[in-house]
Amino acid sequence: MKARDTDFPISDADRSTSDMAWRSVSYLTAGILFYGGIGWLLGQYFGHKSAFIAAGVIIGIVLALYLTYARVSFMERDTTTSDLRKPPQ
Amino acid sequence: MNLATIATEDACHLNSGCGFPAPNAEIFFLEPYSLTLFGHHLLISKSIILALLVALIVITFFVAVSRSSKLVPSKLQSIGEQAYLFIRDQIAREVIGKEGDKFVPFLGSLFFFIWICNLMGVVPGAQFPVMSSLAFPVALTLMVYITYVYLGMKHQGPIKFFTNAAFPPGVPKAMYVLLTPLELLGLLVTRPVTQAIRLFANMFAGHLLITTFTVGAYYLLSPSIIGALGSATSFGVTVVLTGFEMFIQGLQAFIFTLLTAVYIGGSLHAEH
Amino acid sequence: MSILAEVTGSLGSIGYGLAAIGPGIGIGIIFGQGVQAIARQPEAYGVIRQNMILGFALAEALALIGFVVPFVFGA
Repeated sequence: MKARDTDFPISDADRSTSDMAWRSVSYLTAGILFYGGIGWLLGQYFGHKSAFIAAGVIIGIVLALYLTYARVSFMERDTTTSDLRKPPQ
Repeated sequence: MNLATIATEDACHLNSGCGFPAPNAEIFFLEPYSLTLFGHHLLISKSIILALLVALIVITFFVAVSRSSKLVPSKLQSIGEQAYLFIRDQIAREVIGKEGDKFVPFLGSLFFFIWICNLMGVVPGAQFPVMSSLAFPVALTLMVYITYVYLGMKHQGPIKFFTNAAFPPGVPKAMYVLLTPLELLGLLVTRPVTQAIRLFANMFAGHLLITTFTVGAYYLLSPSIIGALGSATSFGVTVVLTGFEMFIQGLQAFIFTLLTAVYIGGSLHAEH
Repeated sequence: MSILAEVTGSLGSIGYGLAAIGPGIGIGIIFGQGVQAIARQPEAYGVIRQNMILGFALAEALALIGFVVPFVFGA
């Protein structure tokens, strides 16, 4: 059976943001791993390992949250305005 | 053997002073069966036997369903059609879109294989969730990973696939130095790792929880009021948890398949 | 002062278990209320989901901090 347009209740714009919640977890993990890892390396070199890792982890989380915020607000920019202009059904 | 003899027999119970034998991760490392096949000595673990059995069940079911398909479906055929339509409408078309129909066989086999594998955790006689051995989720995730990286390189171009993901839109140019590592790590490392760990950890923890309460029911069974009440409560919790675990098993299979569809969909359409 | 009680074994796991309670409740509230809001006002779907994801990411960050802390200060 061929797929008709009415078989797809969700628009492409909506679909592209639907995985954003999963993706934010992935960003957070990546941020903690990468910047925590850099902190660990710096700690190996300079001493005060715990302080460097903790600072790296915090920086990684902040950057991951910023990235999530930037992605979400950029993606939703088109859909949000069009949604508000649409008359309520 | 009735309950009274179990409660008073000379084993580890509440007042015998042996302490609660809490189950730990060792219950997942069973002694492998050894057998000799064509002169080769083989060690086969329970999870491999169960996985092969599950593969056989799933293949047999779908072959039997689609062998003699008619316009007016028989009972078996309509069950198979429901299964197919569930994957197509709830996962493939909902998440991937118009190109989704091509991936229904892949997503369908993935979903039913994982689901029946998980279900082996509560089937009497088997009672070992296959996906609680980390190797199985990892192997499935590697398959999915290769699929979506290949599809992304094919549909977006081998270099474009990475540059599209590496430079997030809507961010000042100076931030790219800080954020590009996160995007690339997220795409290539944490995505597959979290996908595998999520399935593994849920099955592992669920099985451990059920085992703990089952062992608790056995341990508390002793000729005293606290023992009898505690044992009954623990057994009741086991029954409730088994029902809950069956729900989690279906849910985790669904989430794994859904994430696969999300990643495939993300590889097919470049973000802008 | 004599020791009255002592906890031994994998303290990091206990700490993570405790740290996951709050974010668990928080994520539940975020998505529960989010679904309710979408049901009440479907035309504001985009805005609601945007804020839902941001709140979810903030709560999830706390759970991940709880996961990392034993590695940082444990060794």
